[in-house]
Parts: sequence; structure tokens; C-alpha cells
Amino acid sequence: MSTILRAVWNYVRNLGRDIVQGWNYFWFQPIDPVPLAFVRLLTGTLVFYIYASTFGETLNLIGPEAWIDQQAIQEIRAIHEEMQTPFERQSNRSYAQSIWFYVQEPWLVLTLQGIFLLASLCFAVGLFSRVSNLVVWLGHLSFVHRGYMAWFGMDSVLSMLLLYQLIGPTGATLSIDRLIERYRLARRALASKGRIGPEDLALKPSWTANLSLRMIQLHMGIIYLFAGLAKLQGDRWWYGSAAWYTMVVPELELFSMRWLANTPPWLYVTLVFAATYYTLIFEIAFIFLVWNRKLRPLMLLGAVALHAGIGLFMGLMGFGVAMLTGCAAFLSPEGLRWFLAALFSGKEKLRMSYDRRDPNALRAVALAAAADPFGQVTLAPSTERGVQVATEDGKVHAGTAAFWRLFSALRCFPLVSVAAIGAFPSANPESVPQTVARS
Amino acid sequence: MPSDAVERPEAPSTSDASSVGPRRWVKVVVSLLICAHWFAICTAVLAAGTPQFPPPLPAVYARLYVTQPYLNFLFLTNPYRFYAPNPGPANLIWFRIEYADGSVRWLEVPDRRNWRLRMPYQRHLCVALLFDQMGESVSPEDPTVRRLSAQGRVAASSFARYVARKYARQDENGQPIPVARVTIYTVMHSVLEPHMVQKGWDINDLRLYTPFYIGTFGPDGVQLDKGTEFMEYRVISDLAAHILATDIYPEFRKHPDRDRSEILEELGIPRPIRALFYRFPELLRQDDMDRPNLKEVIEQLFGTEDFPKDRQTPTRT
Repeated sequence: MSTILRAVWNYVRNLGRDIVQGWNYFWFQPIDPVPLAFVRLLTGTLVFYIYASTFGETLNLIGPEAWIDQQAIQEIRAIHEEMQTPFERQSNRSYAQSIWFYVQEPWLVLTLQGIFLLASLCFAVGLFSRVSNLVVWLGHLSFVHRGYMAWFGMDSVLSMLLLYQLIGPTGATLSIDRLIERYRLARRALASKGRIGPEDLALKPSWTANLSLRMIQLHMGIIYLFAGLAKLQGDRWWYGSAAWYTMVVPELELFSMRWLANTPPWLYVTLVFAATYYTLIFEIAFIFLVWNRKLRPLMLLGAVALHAGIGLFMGLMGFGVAMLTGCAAFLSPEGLRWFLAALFSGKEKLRMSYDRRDPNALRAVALAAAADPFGQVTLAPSTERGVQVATEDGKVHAGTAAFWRLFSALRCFPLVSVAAIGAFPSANPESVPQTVARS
Repeated sequence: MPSDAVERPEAPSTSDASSVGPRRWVKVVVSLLICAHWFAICTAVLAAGTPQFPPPLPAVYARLYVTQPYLNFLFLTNPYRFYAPNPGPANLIWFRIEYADGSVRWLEVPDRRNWRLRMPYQRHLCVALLFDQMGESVSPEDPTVRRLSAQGRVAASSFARYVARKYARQDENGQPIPVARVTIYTVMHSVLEPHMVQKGWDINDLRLYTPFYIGTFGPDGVQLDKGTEFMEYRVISDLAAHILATDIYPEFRKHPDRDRSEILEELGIPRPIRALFYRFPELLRQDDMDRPNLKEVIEQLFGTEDFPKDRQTPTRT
């Protein structure tokens, strides 16, 4: 008997240990924050687009004399007091808050909304990322709470994305913040050691980035799962004809799909029923299959197909982009870095030599190092004055020619080019070797 | 896939000593917060239901009494019932604006022709959806009986005030003509079934529209008729006949030489009513204008069996 009890106890203890280890790995493992930064970039761009394109309607949606005006908002927020039963009172009580409940002047509404737009742009490019994230989140919440009913599924997804991104370091990479940080780290390394090593600019893995991404991932799974399960309550989804009723809403469609009704029945059934069942199966299966590394690319492709269809046939582009932004949280850091390198890394390798005694040269080197995330430039101290950039064919460029060589070879260099101009003075051609020996 | 031999100084090293993760007490606190948060999210997604599939009571009470402030403030209340249980029709709002000088104008919200960009148009589609979301069927057997919530009535008053402000007119001398009253209808625009497409129905076919009368309001939002909690179902042919008789034909008679489509455009007549004249030009004939039974005339033009029958409205209390 004691053997059995001991075996049961060992099983329970090992199970508990595995659960704790798995929990810690799932939520607290430090990771490369690049997927989080990518989600930030997409979210910020989407938020900017949504609110910039709606800016002209700001006062009609959230102004003091909007569709739901200030008087109505106050009445609605107080409506729970008129309810008879405690259940009704609690059901109708609102805990929403919005800056627009308190700002009444139309000029001030537009000004603050303009500041919010600016913050969303900063958030997209990763400038003052933490602060802009907070401002964008509060601005979005303020809009949806005050707009009252002028929101839809896209806004719910955005509020989730913006909230979870507050947890992690969204500006740790793929951002202006990171560019500035790389420059500062490079200057520090040059000042202390006279050179810049890979370890000086290395990005630290972050557990809060992991936590942020996991929250987004799990929430996306829940969205798909409950959207799919709820559809099982509808006879049209079971029967297979539901896709027709989503594609032919005149108020939503971008172009007519009604021609499907005049096609041969087998074609109508194949296309409409396939779209219906694909939606159901994908949504319900997503949360179970996306965690498998081999199946994840297929699930993500499936999400792209689903939302491309929703965007094209139902006109819900904003919603589709918001959902795909959430799906971007499933991208692997290695895969994403490979993809970004394939897109943005130049092919050319350069050798940059610099005079350690020249402050301008040090600034130029730090800027080049900051704008070189793909390691295209090898840095080497030299006794030659100023900065020289040598290409693979042995040609040497100095001064402004070196500047333009870097400008054309490094895809990120244009971001720092304005700051770099003064660091590449014109060089005396007699002091510059025309070629360098290949190492 | 990427080669590990390529140096990528930006990518972090997982062997970095600082990549250890948080301390134990931080993990415990964060884990508790994680559990609390997902409990709240679960109450949000579980506490929504339909008459056929009511939500579990524990989820409803947990949401109401425990997690509602948290979810409400963070705007995480959505149960994600997208196009569920079945895809539904779009909703529009029709406003009939009557001015102090007796002139009339109709307004259809949203009108796609007024929007170049998609996003603001979609925002206004959501505004039009308000009465559908603020209304509930009283009986599953009869979806034409719908009750409007208290918030819906407040919203209707606000809409009347908005329309009265935004669509005020001026006479030839620049003097303002105030709005005397605003009548509001919420209109369901059903989707064409495949057999309707095969029969040649147009997307603006009158038979696809189902209006519900919300009320008549003054420019200050005060309801002028006997307000009730119910949205009054109207047979579309009846409403169309009323619009023809009250608003369109008097204008036609007043300006017999003017282009009819110009008059309809100026009046802002809703699309399906305008489409009537394009489809049945005989309605422009003088003897049709004078007929008292316009509702039957319209139904006969379409084919009576395709129109819904009149419904008995519920007893007002």
C-alpha cells in the first residue's frame, strides 16, 4: 500500500514540478524582443491610419455635439440609477472613462486628438516607445468609451494589443529608440576601449517581451476559439451557407459577389460552403494547432487567407489588419530576423578605418555602427586622419565620398545621415590610399 | 533559413548571463496577476449568450459583480461573437426632418456616396447599428416585436438633436429655418438570397427593407409622440406609400415641370423609395399620384406574396 501511495505521490510531485517548469518557460523565458517590436510597428501604423482617416469626423463622433452628445453621455452613465433591481443596476453601470467626458471645447478636442495622432506615429516608428504606447492606449480607450457605439471588432482587438504591449519593451529594437541607444553604446565603447565589439551593441533578451507576446498569443487564440464556437450556434454555419450572407451585404462589400448565385450549383456549393467550413474549422482549431512549431507557419498562412478574404469580400480591411497584427506575435525571432535581413540587409561588405584621435571620426564610426544592425561594416582603427571606407574591390573612399558609400551600402544609414554629414569632412586626396590590400 | 555563420550583432545572445528571467517573488506575483486577468477574460467571453443558448449563470454573476469594472475600463468586454450565431443584415437609420416652414428632407445614415474613405464610413455604419444592438426581440417566435432599451431611447433623443443642429436650413434671405421635428426609423436591410438573385431582385429592392419606427422628436430631443419602450414595426410598402403621399407627390405637384430625380435627390429620399420610380415609372403618372390605396398599388407592382403581412403591435402600457 505504501508503495502505491509513494508512486502516486511521486507522480503528483513530478507533475507539479513539470507544470511549474512549463509555466515558467511559457511566461518568463527571456527572448529576443524583435517580434514584439514588429507587432508595435504594425499596431502603431494601423492606429495612425485609423485615426488619421477619421480625423475629419472627430467632432461628429466624440465632440460635445457628436451623434451621442455630452447630454446623452451623462444620461447614459447615470441610467443605472433608474433601474429597479440590483441586477439591472449593476448590468447598466458603466466604469468607462474617457478624457472626452471632460473636454468640451471643440478646438481642444481636435488639438488633443492631433497630439494622439502624433503619439501613434511615434509609437509606430519607436520613438519614446513607452510613453507613446501609454498615450496611444489611453487615447484609443478614450475614443471607444466616448464614441459609445462607433466602434467594432477591430477596436476590441486594438485595445487588447495596446494593453499587452505596455508590458514589454516594444522599443527595444526596430525603433528610433534602439538606433539612438546603439549610437550611445558605440560612443561609450569607443571612449572606453577605442573600438566597438559585437558584445558592446548586443541586445539583451527580455522576459517582459516574452510575457507581452504570450498574452497577445493567448488572447488571439481565445478570440478565434470563441468566434468559432459561437458560430456553431447558427444554422447557416452548420448548413454551410453562412459565407454567402457575409459576402453580399451591400453596405459592406467592395465589389459584388452576387454573380455566384447564377453559377452552376456545384460551383456555388463548392465556393460558398468551402469558405464557410474553412472559417469554422480554422477558428476552432487555431488555438490548439498554432503552438506546434511545424504547423504554426500553416496556421499563420491560414490566418492571412482568412483575413484577406474578410478584407476583400466583406470590406473589413481594418479588422483584418488588426487580427493579423495579433497573429504576428506568433512569429519566431529567428525567422523574423532572417526575413528582415533578407529585405533590408545590403549585400556589400565594407571596411571602415578611423583615427581614434579625431572626434569627428569617432562620431562617424558610432553613427555607422548604430545604423549597421546586419554587420556589413568591419571597423578598424587607423593612423590615417579622418575616416576611410574601403569596398570589397579594394577601392578606398574618404570624406564625403565615404559618407555616400555608407549611404548607398547600408539600408539604415539614411536614418542617421543628417546627423552624420558633419562627421565626414572633405579629405585631402594625397593622404588617402587609392586601394587597400585584401585581408 | 538563416545561416548561423553570419554575424548579426543586433540579435541577442541567449547565453547572456542577464537572460535569466525574473526573481522568484516576481514570478509568483506576476503569475497571480496573469491568473486573475485570464479569469476576467473568461467571464467576458462566457457571459454572453442567446435566447436559445443562455450563458452559464456563474459566468454572468462573476462578470457582473467581480470583473465588470476591470473589463469595462480596459474595454475588454467583447465576447467575440463575430457573425454569430448567424450573419445578420446591415442596419440603416432613416431620418425625416420637418422644418418650421413645412418643408421636409430625408436623411439616410450612412450613405455610402458621402464617404471617400472606408474607415469613417464604417464608423457611421456602427452608429446606425446602435438601435439593433440596443433592441431585443420580446418573443423568439415574432422578431417584429422589439423592445428598445433605456440607453437606446437616450441615444434616439441625441440623434434627433444632432440632426437638428447639423441639417438646419436657411431661406433665400439667409434667415435660418429651424427644424420643427425629427422622425427616426431604424431599418434592417436584408441580404439577397441566391434565389432572389436568380429572379433578378435588385439590392435596393423595397422588399428587402424592414423599418421600425423609433419616435418623433423635437430639435431639443424631447419626444413629441407617445413614447413607448417598443420599436414599432412598419410594413415597408405602408411606409413607402406614406412617404409617396406625404412628401414626394406634393413636391411633384408643386413643381410639375422640374426633373423628378432632382426633386428626389433634394428631398434626400432613401434609396429603395427612389429605386421604385426607376423600376416603375408608372408611379410618376398623375392618376397614380391621386390614388388613395398606394400601399396596394406598390404591392401589386412587385407581386403581393413577397410582401410581409401587417403585424399587430403589442398593447401599450
